[in-house]
Amino acid sequence: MIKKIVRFWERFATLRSLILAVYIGIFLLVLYGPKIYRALQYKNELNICTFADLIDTELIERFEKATGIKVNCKYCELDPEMWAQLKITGGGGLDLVTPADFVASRLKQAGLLQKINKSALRQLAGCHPIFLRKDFDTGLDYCVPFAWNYYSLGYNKEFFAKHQTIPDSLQAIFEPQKAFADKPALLKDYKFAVFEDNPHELIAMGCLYLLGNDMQQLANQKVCDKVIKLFVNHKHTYLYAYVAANMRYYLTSVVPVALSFVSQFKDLIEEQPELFGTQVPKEGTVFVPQNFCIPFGAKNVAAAHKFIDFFLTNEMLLEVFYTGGYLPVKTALLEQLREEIAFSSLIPNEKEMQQFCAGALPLTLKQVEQTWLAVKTAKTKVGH
Amino acid sequence: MIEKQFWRWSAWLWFAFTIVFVYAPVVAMVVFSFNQGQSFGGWEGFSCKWYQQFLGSEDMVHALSGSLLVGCLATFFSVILSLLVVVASKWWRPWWLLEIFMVNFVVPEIFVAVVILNIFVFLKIQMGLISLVVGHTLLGFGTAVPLFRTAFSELQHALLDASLDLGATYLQTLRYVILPILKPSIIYVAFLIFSLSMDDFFINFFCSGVGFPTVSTYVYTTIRAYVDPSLNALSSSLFFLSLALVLLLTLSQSIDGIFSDD
Amino acid sequence: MVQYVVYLVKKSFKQEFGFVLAMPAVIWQICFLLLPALVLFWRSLFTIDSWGVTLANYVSCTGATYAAAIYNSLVLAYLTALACLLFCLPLALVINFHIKRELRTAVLLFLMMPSWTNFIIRIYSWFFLLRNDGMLFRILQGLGLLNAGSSLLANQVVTIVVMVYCYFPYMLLPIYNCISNINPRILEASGDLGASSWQTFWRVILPLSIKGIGSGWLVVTLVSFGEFAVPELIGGGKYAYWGNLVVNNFLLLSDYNAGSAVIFFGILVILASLLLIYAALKLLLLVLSHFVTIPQKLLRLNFAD
Repeated sequence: MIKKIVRFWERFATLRSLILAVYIGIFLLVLYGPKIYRALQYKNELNICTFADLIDTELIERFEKATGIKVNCKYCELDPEMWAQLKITGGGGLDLVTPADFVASRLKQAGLLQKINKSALRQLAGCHPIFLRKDFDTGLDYCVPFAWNYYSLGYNKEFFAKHQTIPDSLQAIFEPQKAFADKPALLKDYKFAVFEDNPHELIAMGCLYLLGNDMQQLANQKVCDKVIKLFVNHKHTYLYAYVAANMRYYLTSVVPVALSFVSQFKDLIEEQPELFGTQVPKEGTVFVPQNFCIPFGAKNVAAAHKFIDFFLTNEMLLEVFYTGGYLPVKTALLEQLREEIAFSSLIPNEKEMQQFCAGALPLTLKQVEQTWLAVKTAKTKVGH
Repeated sequence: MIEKQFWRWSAWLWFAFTIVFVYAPVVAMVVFSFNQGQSFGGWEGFSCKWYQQFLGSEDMVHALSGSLLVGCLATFFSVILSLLVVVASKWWRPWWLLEIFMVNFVVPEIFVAVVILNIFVFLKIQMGLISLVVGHTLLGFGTAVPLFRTAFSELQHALLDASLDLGATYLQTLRYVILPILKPSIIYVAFLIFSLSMDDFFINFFCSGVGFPTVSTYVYTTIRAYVDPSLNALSSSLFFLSLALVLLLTLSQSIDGIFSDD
Repeated sequence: MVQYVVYLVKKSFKQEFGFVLAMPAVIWQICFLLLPALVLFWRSLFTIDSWGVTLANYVSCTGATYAAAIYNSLVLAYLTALACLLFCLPLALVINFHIKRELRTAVLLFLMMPSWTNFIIRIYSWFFLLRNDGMLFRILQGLGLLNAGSSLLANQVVTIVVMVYCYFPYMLLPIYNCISNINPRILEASGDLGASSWQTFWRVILPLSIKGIGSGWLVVTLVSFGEFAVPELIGGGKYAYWGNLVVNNFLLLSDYNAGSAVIFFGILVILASLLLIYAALKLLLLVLSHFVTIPQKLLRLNFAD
């Protein structure tokens, strides 16, 4: 055996191994070259990861012009993706992320965030108290909330005016037979659409409908099963409009009511307030604040703070609302927007806000995935 | 006779149905990319404004150029490297040389995408142009190696032996004997790999990184937010591009008879 | 020094020509696909919570929800392959027998051309065509073929149609290759001996083209098993598929161990199911051959290439 290896080595020692070494050297150079090159050159750049509809590219350009810092944006679609991004790279490669609360708390627990230097931020004051609660155990050391969204029912006014009713509770989604028991004409071919496939928040909505505000009950498997059953029962009337190719298309041609972030309905209501309406459900709803967080391995921390500061000004928070639909966190701005007729239906009043639920599920991400898979793989009526 | 007529008519019917089925979405897309208005139900007049919007949109042009760059690089590496491997198999013949490339062809694309994701994360190299080119080249190996293999085996090896006997070095044999004979295959394979790389979705989905958009990821993400009629312009442009390439190839007579042994 | 390097380069091209030429591709393949695949397999044997080699990830793949998703993918793959076969076989026959020899390549290219556009764009163009406010829907509604409440999208039949649209070239080319290799004199002979067209098809054409059908079926099944974009965008995203499991585990949960187990398990499932179907088909034909005469080539089901 050893003789074989020695003979093998002697035969192939010089030329082939040399060729092999040269090729491997070339490969390594090409693979690691750009990385080394980039590390040698320091540019004042900011790498952020955010959602496509949260911060519009125009606003980013404004930031670039105002400060001269170049911004590279990476877009995610779902909050857990942000979690995965940071976990993969160990916090490096990104200077700023905008996760929702439940992801931010997990990131903090995993030690992937660093403390924000509050003295560098001048625009921090004026936040609505609902965002300063300690539900998620974040304090304001690691996360700074700047915009938020909530789930509401957007509906086609004409359709519901025909039947002289409006969908004002989650029953219109989860148990329409009970909600519209006296209107069989409405129930014929009734479908509803859900615009975001966010399992975390949808499970919270289901739990809210069944059990009210107490999310901790979900730790019990039986309760989870009840929530799953709720979604499965209406799978044939549920359209997950993943290709959210125009809310206008769905609300006019396909479904009369949709459950989604209120930012998705903003454009519709602005342009055609007599055709589209939005309603906060009676039972309360889940609200999702988006925070600025700085990952542990961030390189350009100073630029990140400048970015946060820039976007916390009243002017930019309003711009974020006008372009993307995410509501500002400052109380004064909320009051201001309530005065405007076009948006008054979009901003909930104080009483409604008291019923908002933060959606803190006691489940791990894997359990959330399993629960949602159970909904997705359940069989429904043939042909749907 | 009646039976023959029946078969003839049903054949043409099926053919017509196929053409309609295959071209209906494409035609609809192209027609509506010239539509004046934004609605998708009616024709509102001819206008090129969506093309102007598409060319003016920085994101779209960036995505398109990214895809084209990856496509060109992947085609270049795929074709050259697989050609070299297949040619080399005449002179260096371990049993596993061409068999290891069968994996690319047999497994679902997701497997290749995930493997690339894994190794780039493990090596701590940022995803981007390099990971995309690596992934697309691997896909290219899957199509190129079998095709070159058949083409090379149809080559008469007596020619190679003759050229070597007459005193040409290996490199000269490669350059003056093998390449000219294989030219139609090379062009065909290059075209195939280029279109495969432009069409690809799964590898782009898993392996694109910060600031390197491709057409697939761009369309996938914007469709979620809103429908932009300039997407029609983008898709029609890509279709015209492949149409132009195909016409170029057929008119230059380089790839006649590729599909069967006519 | 430089002269020595030049000498070495020349020597390597003379002596080890094959090795020099082949190495880049081989290194590429090994480093970027084969080795990482092995590493992934090794990783799938560990879980993130516990230590030591364990099959826990694979066991969780057989759990209710994961198995249901893999089953969905299997069904989708086989339905797509069947629909592709039913679509491409007549098409290959038509192209081969009813179209002039000179035009055949052109016709094939013409048919394949839409498949040389971006995958997502193909799906998007179908979505665009089938919208509820689009022309096709309005025409069908006007003709009375659709009720008011139904929709052309978000049902399983349309998903299969779009899958066929995306994957039929993989089936068409092998079948066409096989059929075009049939010697036309054999068909003449069969006609002369008194067989009707239908009999010619069953006894002559089909057995001779089994090889193409087999390889087309294999490719389409393997490729459409990993599909998750079409059911999500066209089918309304109501079901989960194997591809969704992979995406969830790698991109959302960042659990590479469980994700790799899902991938290998899925590949195992699809390959095993193909073998099972091959065996079942052979058995079926064997049983049938006692009642009906079946041509030898069909009976042997020789797919090897």
